[in-house]
Order: sequence, then C-alpha cells, then structure tokens
Amino acid sequence: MTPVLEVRDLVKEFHVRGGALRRRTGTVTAVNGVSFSLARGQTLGIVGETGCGKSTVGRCLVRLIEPTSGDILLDGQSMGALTPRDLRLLRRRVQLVFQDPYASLDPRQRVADAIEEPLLLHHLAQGRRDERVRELLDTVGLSSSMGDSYPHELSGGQRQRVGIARALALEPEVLVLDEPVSALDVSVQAGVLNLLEELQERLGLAFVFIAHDLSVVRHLCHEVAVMYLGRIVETGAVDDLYERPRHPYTSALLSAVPVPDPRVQRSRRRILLEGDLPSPMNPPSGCVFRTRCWLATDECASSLPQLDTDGSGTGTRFACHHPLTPTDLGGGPE
Amino acid sequence: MTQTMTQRTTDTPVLSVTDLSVTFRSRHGDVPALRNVSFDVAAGETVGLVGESGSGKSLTSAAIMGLLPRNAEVTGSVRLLGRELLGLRESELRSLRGQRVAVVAQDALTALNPVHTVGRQIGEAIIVHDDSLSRAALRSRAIDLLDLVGIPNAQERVDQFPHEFSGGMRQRVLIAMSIANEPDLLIADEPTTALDVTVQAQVLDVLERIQDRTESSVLLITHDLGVVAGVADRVVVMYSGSPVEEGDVESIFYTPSHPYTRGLLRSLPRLDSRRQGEPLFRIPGYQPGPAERPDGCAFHPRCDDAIAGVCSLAAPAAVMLTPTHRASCHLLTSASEVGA
Repeated sequence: MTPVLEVRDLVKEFHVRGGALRRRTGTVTAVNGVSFSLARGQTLGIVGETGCGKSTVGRCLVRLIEPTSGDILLDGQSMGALTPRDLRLLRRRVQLVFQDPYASLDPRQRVADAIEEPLLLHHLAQGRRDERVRELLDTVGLSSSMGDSYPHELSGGQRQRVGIARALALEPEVLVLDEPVSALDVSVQAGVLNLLEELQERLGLAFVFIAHDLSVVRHLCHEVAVMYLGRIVETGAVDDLYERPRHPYTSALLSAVPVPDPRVQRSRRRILLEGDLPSPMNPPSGCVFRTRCWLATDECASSLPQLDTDGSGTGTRFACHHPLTPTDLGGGPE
Repeated sequence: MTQTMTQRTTDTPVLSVTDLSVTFRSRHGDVPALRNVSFDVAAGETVGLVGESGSGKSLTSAAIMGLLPRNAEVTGSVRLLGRELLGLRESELRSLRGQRVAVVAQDALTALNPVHTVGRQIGEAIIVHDDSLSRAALRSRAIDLLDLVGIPNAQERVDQFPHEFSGGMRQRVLIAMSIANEPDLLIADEPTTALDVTVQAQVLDVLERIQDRTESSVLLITHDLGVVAGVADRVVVMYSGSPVEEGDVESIFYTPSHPYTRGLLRSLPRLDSRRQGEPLFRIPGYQPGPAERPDGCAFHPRCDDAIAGVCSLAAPAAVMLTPTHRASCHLLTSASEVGA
C-alpha cells in the first residue's frame, strides 16, 4: 500500500546574516536528511528537545516554509514538481494545527467565521457553508451555539477544538499537529487527545504529532521518530522504542521523564547528559550526539552513523555506532 | 479545611499556613482568589503543592513571600518557625527573603550576571545578609555550594563565568545561590516548567541533593505530578483556590480520595505503560475562576458522584482518612454516616 505521506531526505537550511551589510555569515541546517513514511490511519510522533528541528519538519510538510531539498510525496505524488495551482489543491490535503490556541485564533473573529474561512478560500461547501460549519463544530464536540462566540469566551481546550475544526474543514488526509496539547492543563488535555483518537478512527486520518511530552506521544502514536540536531537518531514502533531504546540519546530522554507513581519514579535511574546542545551552525563531525554521549569513541567523531536496524529482533532503526543492547536497559554514564 | 494537620514530631513546623485567604479588591467587586488554605511544612520535609493553572498554587507562594499586589487583602496566618509573616513591614520581610526563605529563580539564562564569575555572584548572595566573611572564606563557601549542587571540579569552576556553563549547570548555580544562606525554607515555584527534559532532570537531581544533604525544607509548587511523585514527602492538591486533598505522597498516588485528585491521576498518559486504544479519563468541564466559583463544593459541577442537594449547598469539611491523609469531600462524610 502506498503510504499517504512520504518524506525523502528532507533538508532545510536557514541563512544567518550578520554585520552592517547583512552578509551571509553562516548556515543553520535545521533539518538534515529526514526521511519517513506514514500510512493512513496511523500516527507518527516526532519528539526531541528545543531546537532539534521537529517543528521545522512540520512547517515544511504544510509548505509554510520551502524545503531546501528533498521530496514530500502525498499518495505517491511528489509535491516538489507541481505548478502553484496543483500545489494549492494538494496542500488542502495536509493541514496544520498550531500549538497555542490563544495566539492562533483572531480575537475579533467569531468561531463560526474562523471555521468558515478555509471553506471560502478553497471554494468548498458552496451553498451549504453554514451547515458544514455546524457539522464541523459537532465533529470536534462543540455545540453549534458556540459558533457565535469569540475566542476570549472559550477555554483553552475549546479553542484547541476550534483549531482542529478549522484544519478539518478542508477534509485533509494528513493532520500535522505541532504541540497541540502542550498549552493545556492535563484534565483538559485528556479530552483533546481522546478527540484526536476518535477522529482518526472515524475519518482514517494520518497524524504527524510533533511533541516534547514523551508520555503523550506514547499514548497517541503508533510510530515515533526521535530527532537530535536536525537528524532522526532513532525511529520505530512506539512500544519497541520506549521499552528497548537503542540510541543512547533516546534512552537518556526517556529516563528523564518523571512518572506519576512514587514507587516507580523513585526506583528509576536518570541519565544526566553533560553539556549543551551544540550550535546547529557548527555541528560536531560524525555522530551529532557524540559530544554528550557517554559511549562515544574516535569512530563516532570520524564517521556519521546511518539510520538502520541491526537485525536483532525489534524493527527499530537507529543511527549509532555503539547502540545499547536490548538488555542493558537505560544504562547510562556512571 | 480549618485544623492544620498535626505533625508526627513535636517540633514547630518550619512553615505553618493557617486559613490563608486572599481577596483581590477591584472596581468590579471582590475576587476571592484563595480560600482557607492550611498546611504545614516540617523541618527537612518536601511538600508538593500541586494543581492546574488557576488553582491558586502560585498565589499561595506569593502570599507566603509577601509579594502580593496592593489590592490584595490577605487574612489568616503564615508563620515561619513560629513567627507571623503577615503584616510584617517590607524591611523586615526583606531581611527574611534570601536568608530564612529563598526562592529558586526560574530563568537561568538571564538571572546570572554575565560579567562576574559564578563564585563572586554566590558570594554576593551571602554578603547581602552577612558581611563578616573574608574573601577567602566566601570563595571556599562558594566551592562547597557548587559541590553540593553537583557541579564537578568546583575548585576550578568557581572562577568561571556563566557563559562557560551549560544550561543545566547554570540552573545548578542558581540553586546554589538560593541555598547559600542555608534557608529554612526553599520555595521552588514551577522549577522544571518550560525546561527540556534533560535540563529538568538536572534540576530534579539538585532538589534531591538538597533533600539529602541540607536541613532545608522545600515547598515545591508544580503542575507536574511526575515531579511530585519523585521528590515530595507530602502533597497538597489545590483546586479553584482551596486545598481539596492533602496527604503523604503514597496516599495521594495510591489511594486518592477526592474525586478531583482521582480524575487528575486517571487523565494522565503514562510513559511506562500504554493501554492501546483506551481513551484517557476526562474530567468534564473546566476549573472555575474565582468569580464564577459555584456554591457548595467548587468541584461539584464536574463531579460524577456529586450528591444532589448536598454538594451544591455546603462546602465540604476536611475528613481525616488516616493520621497523614485528609480530603474535603461530602462523599467521604456521607459514606461513613450511611455506612456504605
């Protein structure tokens, strides 16, 4: 089966300008050779810390920014070689839900108008737009009377539902969700996560779920990709990756997440990473993680490990010269 | 909650908050933001004050530190080692802050001065309250503190500048500054919020070191139940301006007794297990603000088990479930009365 979304060797560079003449003084490679594919009805979680490039991937997927190189395919059709008109049609099929439901809605626009806007722009549901807006409100669990409200009258969870309704208005096949619940309190977050799961089941949507909260990702996602300094360092099925991380960085990340269970949490061992994320303008040679890795050797500085499986059972792919064995769970620096 | 939970020790608690209420006066009427908050923090104890945004947890810490705006009317009592803090003059409060009570600053990138060595900045935090120490003594104290918060090679690091430290290490330096005067109480208000997990791990590591190696009590204010599960001895759960449940950490996590606490714990996705396809528990509705708080129990409109004609009328009193665990819920009293 053709994946609904496929990304091949995506690269995004930003030029850094400085000095009085605003001359180009450097290049930040925010995304460096990212590839993945996503099947209908599935969720891929992209996780990583601030600056790892996960949001840039999301923005490239919806063409908010143009990738420097690489290809994005929808149902096997490349988005790269399209005329602007075809791009517009294709773009409808991949929609973005923003992180901050407080900032992403126009405060002077009624909820119904916000949801209607994409329909107007794409000339959809002509003649039955009001009805379609009511349908969409109902789909995300809001009453149709809420269409007359303004964003400030809504709670954070309700606003995020409006954001989702807006994205669904164009009947996309792929939703890119950029930290959709991180601004919400946990009791509200649960409702939005449940809604996403329900929508996926009902509409067969594929999700790219960009998040830093690894607990939420485990709950919602089928597959996970861990990013570090613009690259995917490990990717695989969610349970394999969480239970048997192979890349030291994945294992450090997972070990650092507190678990809301006193006995479990107090018996877990935290791997403390030394140093900071290297500057993306001047990334380390070889493996990007080696400057903070407790297992790094000379080999790691000289050659870039490729993302691959090692045939040891789990289908997890990882980019590491010294992967953790499936048994030395959470081993870390002493 | 009126009676303060008795400590197992006979010592005076380091912090004793009794019936603390804060009302904001405004042209549009009074806003009762905090209502009858009572809890103690014993010597060497770490108490987690948890709740969602708007529950009043940060307001509680501001009231303890005397950092409320002028239109706030504060009643009740906040005692530090038996001494009443409410009503103290600003100058008296200033001498307590940083010495007897310290706060962990959140923003490590901007809170340190880039042109002074970390040793000098730690020394400054000490001199403000005690100028009797010599330069050599200050330096050696700074080294001890850096060592205590887990900075390797403290002897050399003490003479370095903030930019020579990683983000996680700068957090540690800041915490070293806040405990420089061996405060009786350290208030950590959302110390891990907005930090990446690997930096958060460093902060938690320091908090654990402080618990192990100093006498300081810690009041940890957070919305992260995972953080609380890892470091708190006792937990106070806040909802809409009042504590709804308080207990030792195991009681709160393993036998939560207020419907809100139970709902909150059930709504959390877990890192260490996955129930495939099973929806998360969702508490219906949202937490009311102080101006829209309902009569009776503030949680009753969202509560599945609310008793008609009871929960909407009177605010529930605290029920002692065990000597170290109490909750304010009508279900707990009616259950014992009916014998159900």
